Amino acid sequence: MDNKKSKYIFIVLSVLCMMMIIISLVKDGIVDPIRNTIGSVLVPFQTGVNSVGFGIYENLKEHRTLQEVEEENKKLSEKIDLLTEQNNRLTLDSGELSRLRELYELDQEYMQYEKVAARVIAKDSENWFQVFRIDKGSQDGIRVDQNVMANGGLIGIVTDVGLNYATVRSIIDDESRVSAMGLQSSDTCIVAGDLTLYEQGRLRITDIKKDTSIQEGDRIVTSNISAKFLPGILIGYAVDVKEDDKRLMKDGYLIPAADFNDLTEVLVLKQVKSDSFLDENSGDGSVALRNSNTDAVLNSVSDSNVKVAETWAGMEGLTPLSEIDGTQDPNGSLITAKDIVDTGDNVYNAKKSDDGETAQSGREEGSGDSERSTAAKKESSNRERDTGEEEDRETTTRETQARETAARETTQTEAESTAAESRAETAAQDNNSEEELIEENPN
Amino acid sequence: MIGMKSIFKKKTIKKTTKRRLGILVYALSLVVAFLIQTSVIPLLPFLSASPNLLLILTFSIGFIHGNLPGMIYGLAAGLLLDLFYSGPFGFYSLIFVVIGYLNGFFSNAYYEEYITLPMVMCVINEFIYHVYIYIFRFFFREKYDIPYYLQHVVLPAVVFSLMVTLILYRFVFTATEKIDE
Repeated sequence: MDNKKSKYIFIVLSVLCMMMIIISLVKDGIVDPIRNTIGSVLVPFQTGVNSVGFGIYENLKEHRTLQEVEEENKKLSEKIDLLTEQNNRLTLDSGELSRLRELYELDQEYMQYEKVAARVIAKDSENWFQVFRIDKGSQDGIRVDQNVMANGGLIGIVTDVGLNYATVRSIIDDESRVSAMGLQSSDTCIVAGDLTLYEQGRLRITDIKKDTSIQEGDRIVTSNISAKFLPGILIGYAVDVKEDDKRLMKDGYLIPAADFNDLTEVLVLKQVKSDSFLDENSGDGSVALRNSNTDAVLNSVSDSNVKVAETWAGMEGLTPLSEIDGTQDPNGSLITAKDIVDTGDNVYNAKKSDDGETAQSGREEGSGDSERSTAAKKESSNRERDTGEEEDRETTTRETQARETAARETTQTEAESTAAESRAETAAQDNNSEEELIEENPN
Repeated sequence: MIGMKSIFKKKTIKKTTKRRLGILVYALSLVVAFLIQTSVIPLLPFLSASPNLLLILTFSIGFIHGNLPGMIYGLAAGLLLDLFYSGPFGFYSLIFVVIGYLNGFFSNAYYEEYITLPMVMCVINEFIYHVYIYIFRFFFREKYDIPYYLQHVVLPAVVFSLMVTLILYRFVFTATEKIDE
């Protein structure tokens, strides 16, 4: 009797589980509220247990003999000498580099992405999957699809976010695939995690075109055509690149730059690649939207300076694909209009109100422009979160450039147009020269 | 849970309190095992594999107490794991329920001090569990390197689990005895 009953319960439970699997597969994110609640309750415990465990581990490590420590000390001081020398050299180099970067406006280097540090508090216990959990969640600004780095290399991507935790899938997980490119040649390839290579500390590189020049030792970075990874993040170094069996493509292996065995702290990049996609895709729509907005502004503020902003808004829709990226959002570039017109505070104000209205009207437009409005919201929230450091640097470099061109421009075309028009032209030229610069540097 | 309630009615009040204590102890063990399994063992860099404590507890309870408790414990353990990972929801619940239930059938063959059978069960259960994961998460993605997976994933996990089973099975066993006293 009892046996029969448990048999029925078993069948019911199994069917329930299967139904849950199917439902969650079909409808993504349906269980997220439950996951979040349980996660929020469990994460403090996990953090606690975790720090206790680490305390014990660190304690064990501390009990080493004096001799060992002295030996290590000797080695380390030698290393310090070496590093100091190297550091001096590098400081010189980095000074030069920053000057060059300013010159070429290579702001999209990943060094300038804003980051959040997080601790790894839990990992998948089986070797099947390489998934871990960090102690920062949506309340710290973590979002799905944010990239995760450690030791200067790419670690993985955020797949799931709760209030106070986030789940990260490593790039060494068997299901992970990253669109990448060689830094030297910018030939694209795919970096795929593989369980069978995991113990050798390698990943697989596939889909390298046959005639490309990716060689052994080349730096592999995330590609700029990747849908989820920000461009230019170092993944690792290529080894054993060979033609595949069919002699159509080249295959190889990758040694990751980050150390996956001893992951305790990671950096989460706050920017999400899809943000910049949204900006791009809504490019055509935004022209009309923006123009109508600026028209409204024009009516209220009948100042010729506004024309500059309008021209800029028009230019924006046409901004080439290569120019738009995470660090310099199209709205951010509007600030240059303000910089060009040093005295014209009106433009800045106009720009501000324009911005606000865009967001508003975007929301009002409804379903058609919902993407746009979310983009605008994200942008504005992004900007709020920005420390300002990034933007400051950007604006100063732009300012100097803009001033130079402005000066040149005014001497040339002083007679032929009004001050406002020449400003607009300056803006256009500035934009053009920017394009050229970036086109020259595919990296 | 309906089944549990009807069981309660049949027993005396004293037995009910004992049962409640037992449930409390097992619920606690579930959470503690989960925390250790996810937050302590995998983060120690010198361990290459880690045992699936929840699996061991599930089949031990199924083995000692019968299908129904095994199944319920399995469901709870599976739900915890499902909530922890971001894959399809119910994936772990299903296999844990199945394992809890199947092991319940061997509760007839349960002798107090007999440890060989649990060890054998451990190997079989681990194997079922890993084959389940392999089929649904790897085989369908056309990853066929079975010998490698056997050697580098399944074997370490099974060996480690065997060692832990020795301890955890004793725990469930003594817990049962203490509660019954």
